[in-house]
Amino acid sequence: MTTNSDAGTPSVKEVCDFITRYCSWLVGCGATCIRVEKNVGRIARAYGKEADISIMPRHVHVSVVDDDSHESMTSICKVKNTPISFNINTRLSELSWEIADGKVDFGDAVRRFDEIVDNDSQNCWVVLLLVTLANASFCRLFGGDFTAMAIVGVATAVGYFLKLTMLSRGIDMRVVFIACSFVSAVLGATDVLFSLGDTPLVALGTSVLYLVPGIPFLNSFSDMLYRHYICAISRFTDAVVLTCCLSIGLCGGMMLMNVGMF
Amino acid sequence: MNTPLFTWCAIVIVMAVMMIIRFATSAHAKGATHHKFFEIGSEREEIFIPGDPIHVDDLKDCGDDDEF
Repeated sequence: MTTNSDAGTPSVKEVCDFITRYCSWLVGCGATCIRVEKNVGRIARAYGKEADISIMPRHVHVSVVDDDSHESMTSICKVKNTPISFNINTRLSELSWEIADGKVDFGDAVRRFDEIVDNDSQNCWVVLLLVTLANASFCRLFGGDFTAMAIVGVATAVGYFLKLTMLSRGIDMRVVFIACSFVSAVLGATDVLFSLGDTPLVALGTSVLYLVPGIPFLNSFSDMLYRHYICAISRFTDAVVLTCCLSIGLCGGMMLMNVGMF
Repeated sequence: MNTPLFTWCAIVIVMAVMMIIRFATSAHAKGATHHKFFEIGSEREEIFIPGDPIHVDDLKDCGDDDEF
């Protein structure tokens, strides 16, 4: 059931549509279920409504009820298929607080939402540089020398470049993980092949760490704590599959380079 | 050539070619909308002096054509 919005108060349908899109993006960009629940409840209460959501692995189910008229509406939407983005995650959470604090009216909130999801301007080259530095630092943390750090940096940069290139062409994530881990493992074995440094195995082992799906693992644990078991199992399964793909590429690289267990 | 060295060389060459192509494509795409670092200019662009007429249509009567 829907109502027309009167002066300044959005209708149940408008709120339900907005919250559905909001949920779709928030879940898609890597938010935990408890964060989605809290943000949605905050937004709905700001408009005098109550919202209940059911988060499934691929869909979000939203019901909105008006506190006064008891009109209700239910909507279902696919989870947005988008890369994990802490930027969108943070800005959507900020938007929910601004709505709750009455700083933006409904029309402005919808416009702000569209701006946030349309203008996620992360420079992929800056991200590549940061990932490279982070993985080289991991190598140092695990006891690698500076030669190993340099090799891991190059292996990470090339692997991440390959990941960006393949993902931009719409190639399946699992294939991307196998290819990237294979390339990074082969390049990470440079130290073993040419005997350049003192910690060749550290370089090889840390060259694929940038592919470890840490966020899905953490989110699945968080979802399990808050009894979102279906989402938790789904995210855990996704993470395990990606880890298996990573392992396949790593093992393939090690086998061809005659390193380690092979 | 042994297998590890051959694999390593193949990966390095393939990835280097991919990166060069990507950067060249990116630079070419940007070159369509931005000024190029190097380009072959016309004679007029090289010896243009401020004050010269902008259009060169006034030289068209100097050519050999059938009206002479």
